[in-house]
Amino acid sequence: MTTSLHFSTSKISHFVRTMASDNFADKSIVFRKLRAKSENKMCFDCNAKNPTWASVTYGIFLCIDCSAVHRSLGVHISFVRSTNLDSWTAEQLKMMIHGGNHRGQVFFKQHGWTDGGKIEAKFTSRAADLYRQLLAKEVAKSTIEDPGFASPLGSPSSPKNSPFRDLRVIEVFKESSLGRTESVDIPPSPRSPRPVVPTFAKKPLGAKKGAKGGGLGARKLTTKPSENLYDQKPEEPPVVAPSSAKSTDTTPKAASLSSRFQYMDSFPSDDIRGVRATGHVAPPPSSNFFSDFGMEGGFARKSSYNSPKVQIEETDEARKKFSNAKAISSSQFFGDQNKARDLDAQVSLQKFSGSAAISSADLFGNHDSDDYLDPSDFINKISFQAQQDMYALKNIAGETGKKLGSLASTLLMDLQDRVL
Amino acid sequence: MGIVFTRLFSSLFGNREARILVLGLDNAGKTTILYRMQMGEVVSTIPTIGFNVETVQYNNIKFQVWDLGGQTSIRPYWRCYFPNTQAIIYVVDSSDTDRLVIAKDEFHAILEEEELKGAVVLLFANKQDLPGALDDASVTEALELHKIKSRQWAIFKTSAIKGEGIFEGLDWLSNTLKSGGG
Repeated sequence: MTTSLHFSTSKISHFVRTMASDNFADKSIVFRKLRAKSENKMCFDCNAKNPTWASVTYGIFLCIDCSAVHRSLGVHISFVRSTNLDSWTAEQLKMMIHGGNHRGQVFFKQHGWTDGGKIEAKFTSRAADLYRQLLAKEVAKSTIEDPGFASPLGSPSSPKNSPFRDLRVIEVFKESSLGRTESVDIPPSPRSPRPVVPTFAKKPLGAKKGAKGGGLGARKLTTKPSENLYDQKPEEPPVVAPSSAKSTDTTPKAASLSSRFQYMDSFPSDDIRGVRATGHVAPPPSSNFFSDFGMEGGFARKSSYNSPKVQIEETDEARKKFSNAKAISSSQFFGDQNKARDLDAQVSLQKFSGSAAISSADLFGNHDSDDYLDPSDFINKISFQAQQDMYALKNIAGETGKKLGSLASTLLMDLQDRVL
Repeated sequence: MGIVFTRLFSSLFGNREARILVLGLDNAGKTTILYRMQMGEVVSTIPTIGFNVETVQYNNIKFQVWDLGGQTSIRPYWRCYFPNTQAIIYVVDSSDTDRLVIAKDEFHAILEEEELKGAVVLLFANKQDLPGALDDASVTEALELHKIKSRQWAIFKTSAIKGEGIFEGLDWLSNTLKSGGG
């Protein structure tokens, strides 16, 4: 069981790496490989054959009918793409590579969601939330490891959920999330609490593995502190060493890649277990714990850089002006600018704040009622109205012409019909 | 002969017709909005591959509403429907903040089209019922609507699921079209 899991883990990362070298230029290659797996040949929710839709959020393949349900939940729950008709970013493809229908099914099963659960309830559940975060973390981590993807990351088309993007920065999760790939197949009892309170729950699991005596690490500590210490001590140094070395190495991106390869090379050997255990044992030494937070501080700042919201805030002119309005129209927007008077704008806006819609005609009517105007504004207004009148006249003329034309043609057609 | 008179009558007095395109990114809510307008109900939709077309009679205007699929690779086909279009309804998923930039790019690409020079633009900041949905002012900024100079536009907060805002938008549209904006 475990060996096969190691294998699959390393295979995934290998796959990701090979794909990285291709720079994900061709989504079709990725999907050809993924769909070749039997697990992905059926819809995740209803087992329909050959699904061509996917929820990026969970890395699962869906049929079009189930994709419809996912779409209706909103992108914060499930982000649906067509494998055929949509373009995919490198990150989105990675979500599919890391995910897959089988992994998703195992995860949901372990959290008490058997096949055939109602889609909406299933994907708004806590389990779905956990799986979403798990996948996102992994993809984030792998993205850090592959510097080639730095640019698609920042691109606006990168997938949902800002927390994902933030977590990308957490470097220390490298090993631990590798361990987690394996942990999917661990019996549910120890694993379910772990993602809920990560720092807490990881401890007992790691201690258990290190001690190999079974039982909870916390309990052991109270009864036989010394023995437990000895058990753990030998395991700790390798834990701290790679992680710290990595964190220093990875600042230049090329360096991170090389170090990662070294690490991968040692993977197939017997060290695997040690390395994987480190992921779980790691938390107790405070270095890991605090570096988590240090990183999080870093990503918090970074996320505020990248998030689209900030871009929007660059010009919050409209938001200030129209905060009360239910609708904003072009005439309103530019009426303000012409006047160059915020006060007037405010007044005219407030007039409409209660109404559901604001039409240009309404707005002009409002202008008429304004008694005091600058001469320039007055001239502007008059010329604008003149323009409008001219436009209306032209329009009427044009329409009359059109109507006459259509009248003639209908008459002609009617005649033709009658003749025939 | 009766048909001729009916046609004549309707073309001279009220009962105009307008051809409308409903555009927007995938899963923005275009189809749901179309059927909300047409039937007044919420229908469960599947991704539109191709298009849906319905006639909606509203305020003495017969809207021929075309709802086109929004998936990435079928967006280029939108242009096949551009000729003789009086208005565009551009639907935005206000809760999909990550893709607002893409929505903006697509939107401004549409506005560049020669065949849509005369079309008025109605925007729906849809999915207001979802958590984290941006309001119309934020969407206005995100879509850079202030850059539109030579065209009438309006944006409405809508929730196709709750049926809010859609008919207010249609009111604006019909008034604008009647006053010759299209």
